[in-house]
Amino acid sequence: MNNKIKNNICILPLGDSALIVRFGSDIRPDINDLVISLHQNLNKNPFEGYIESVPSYCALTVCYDPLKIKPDKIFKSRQEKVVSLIKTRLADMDTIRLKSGGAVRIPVCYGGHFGPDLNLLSEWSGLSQEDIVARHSKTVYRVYMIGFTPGFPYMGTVDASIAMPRKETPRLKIHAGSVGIAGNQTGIYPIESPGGWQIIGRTPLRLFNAHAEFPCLLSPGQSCVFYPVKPDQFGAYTREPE
Amino acid sequence: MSFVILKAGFLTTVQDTGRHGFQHMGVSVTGAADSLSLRIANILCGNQPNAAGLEMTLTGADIRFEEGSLIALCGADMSGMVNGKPVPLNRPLFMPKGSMLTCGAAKKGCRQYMAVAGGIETRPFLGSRSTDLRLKSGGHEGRALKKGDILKTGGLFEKNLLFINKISALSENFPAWFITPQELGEVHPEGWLRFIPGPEYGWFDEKTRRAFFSKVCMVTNFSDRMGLRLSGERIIPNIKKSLISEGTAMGTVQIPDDGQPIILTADRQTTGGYPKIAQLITADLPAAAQLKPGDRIRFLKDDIQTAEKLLENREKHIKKMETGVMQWLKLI
Repeated sequence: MNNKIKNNICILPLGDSALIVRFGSDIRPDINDLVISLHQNLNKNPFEGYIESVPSYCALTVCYDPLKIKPDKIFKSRQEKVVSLIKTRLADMDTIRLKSGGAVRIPVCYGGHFGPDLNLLSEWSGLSQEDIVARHSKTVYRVYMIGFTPGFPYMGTVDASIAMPRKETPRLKIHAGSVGIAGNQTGIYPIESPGGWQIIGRTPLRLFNAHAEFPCLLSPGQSCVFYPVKPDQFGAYTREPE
Repeated sequence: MSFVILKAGFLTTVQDTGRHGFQHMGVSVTGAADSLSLRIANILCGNQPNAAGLEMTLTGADIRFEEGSLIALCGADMSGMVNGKPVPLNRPLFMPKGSMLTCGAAKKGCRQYMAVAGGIETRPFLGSRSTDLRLKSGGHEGRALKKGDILKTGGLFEKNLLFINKISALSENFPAWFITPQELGEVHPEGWLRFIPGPEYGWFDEKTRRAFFSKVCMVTNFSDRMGLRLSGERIIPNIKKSLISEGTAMGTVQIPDDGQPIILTADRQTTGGYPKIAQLITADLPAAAQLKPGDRIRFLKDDIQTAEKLLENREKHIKKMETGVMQWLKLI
């Protein structure tokens, strides 16, 4: 692990049953790699009392049951013992260098009634709609985390020329599959929900299926590319990608 | 065994101990907001700890039991009556075949839990029977219960049968003894909510912090299973920067842009980008779940050692209670 990052790791209490392990405060692939590495390490080899951990851009929230942590005289609290356990894991773990190949391909119908904000983005950026589509779809994005609703991927990093900030007043209703931009992040709304992102298109792919073996289409660390499809092709893309 | 909902009440849902292990996919934990009351109700029916029960909110449900059943009611007192006669909280109750339970408005507190021997049998969703209202999954058809819904219970274990045989033989259909959740739960004597400073506690200056934990604030009407929205003196951070989204926990106290704290509860989103000034201690989560609009609360700063000690004590009380109940069951 990069020494500079190592020295900046802080483990903060989130009450008596959770801890936040912060690796930094910037959205960067190497920091996110560490978050995901610790998450996978803890899941593969959980300590007694571990419940689950939640990865985000730069931090991992670790949830545990304090009553399952055996008290130890050398620690002032059970939480202190968990902090120590985590520090040992961090020192010993292999950082997973996530593969940049094998990006998941997401078909998107851009603009029209599928992308009600594409026009707005065109005005904001001074670029044509075609240009925006080209720039959005040429980037290989990294999925940094899943949150907000089941399966919602937070992806980066969007080309600065089209990185329009989110709406001040969120929409009350955004259609499932909507592809949006919020600053340098892009994402997809898996289910209908309110939201403030600028909607530029829609994908027919299902991002979350509770009955599938792997419920989430995308996971943190994965690469992702969007590719434009025509409205009449929308219906053909209802299965999961290869 | 089945039972029919004759009147649903304000918000009645099937809940268990929550959906764990899927937060990394953005799936909320959900589950009983007052997990202690559900746990005790399950113990009083002889159920496994993860048996699903009903969570009733503000006004309770009216239920008809199609077969003889054993239930227990814990949490807020909703003036439960069986065939017109009042029934007490915090004891196992035998409901004869065809009997009807009616529940009214919560006299004090917000949520009442009904456990039933065998647990409520619905199709688990990602390993849990808790209802996820946003995702419209889990529980009974992923929604709040309504009039006409028929629910089934699971198979009975030996413990359930011991309870049923003993309680159904009593003249009143319930025992004279009762348990006292307040004593078990180690709640603060004046009902204050104890917290541990959150990760962004340092974003708030001393004056603001004092305003947070000395002033009374009120629970607003905008409170729900996602969070308790409070109103009081505005809490504004000194540091004006964005926080990158991170995982939250049950009882996390967030400060959104308007400076009015939100205590995140069962149906909270898995991640959030607002500063976390405080985190309620686990022992006070049941008390927080019993707050309703109009209630006034105060926060009290505490530390990790006290928080852990309270949980240990609570566990001891519950184990002692369980032993006591089992001893009573086995007496002839």
